[in-house]
Amino acid sequence: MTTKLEFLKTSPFFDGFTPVQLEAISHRVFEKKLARGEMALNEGAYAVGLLFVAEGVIKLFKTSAEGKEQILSLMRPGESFNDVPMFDRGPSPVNAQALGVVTLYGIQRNDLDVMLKQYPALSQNVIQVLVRRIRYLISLVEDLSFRSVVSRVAKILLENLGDTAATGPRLTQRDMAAMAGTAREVVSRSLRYLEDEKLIEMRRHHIVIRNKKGLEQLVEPDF
Amino acid sequence: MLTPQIAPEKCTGCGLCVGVCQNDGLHLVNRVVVFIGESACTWCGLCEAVCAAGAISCPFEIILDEF
Repeated sequence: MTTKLEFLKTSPFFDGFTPVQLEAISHRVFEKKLARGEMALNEGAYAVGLLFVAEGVIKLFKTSAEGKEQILSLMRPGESFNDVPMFDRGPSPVNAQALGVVTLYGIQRNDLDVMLKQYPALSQNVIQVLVRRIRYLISLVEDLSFRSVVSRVAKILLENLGDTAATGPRLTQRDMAAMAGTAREVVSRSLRYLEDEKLIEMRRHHIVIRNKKGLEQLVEPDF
Repeated sequence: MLTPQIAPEKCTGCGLCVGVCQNDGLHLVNRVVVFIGESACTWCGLCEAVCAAGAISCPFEIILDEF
């Protein structure tokens, strides 16, 4: 795991900061350890500070009214995951849970306010971070709004259907994401949708098409 | 037994997959991930999802078995 100072050096939030500035900021960084499954944030709750993943993986998810979990993204070391509620002072829009042992670094909200006034470059960097996130979210909205991803995934499944259990091509969810021009998380969600609709069944090593005609009806004619 | 496919040359040894595996099926040996065969892999795909280097994958075969 990187030290607080090493972490700050690589964080886009502190891009362009001098070693002296980073050293000063590192004294304001707190550390928090989480066990597997422990919640870092609950939806609707107010966080004490801006949180970064230093070690391990944090799962961001929402739970539907039916109790189903929807994974929004997996946050790896170096990434922050509650900057929006930190800056708009609202509640967290998502749940955040440790997928294994996780170490978080954080900056208390009050300290962050002081830093934003003290270091104008920090505001510029925050804008860059948030803009990148907006671009990613816009691409996700495009994918999720138009149902076309489900259609594309359905088409990929039909095109890669093996004749027997031994001869079909083997596809990962990452492969399908690349083929459908979308994110792996969106493919995962599409497969879950198709399974809920009883068109496919996810098994270990196999995606079983249970209703080929139903899947074909989902494929948009112009794709 | 089919196991997650590992491309050692792509593995950066970051260990994220080791941490997320709920069955303790992955270990780092000399900074490269290896699958420990006796564990019961559920093919959940989390290791594939967290690997930024694309070094580990859980491929699916697509087959037909209609109702």
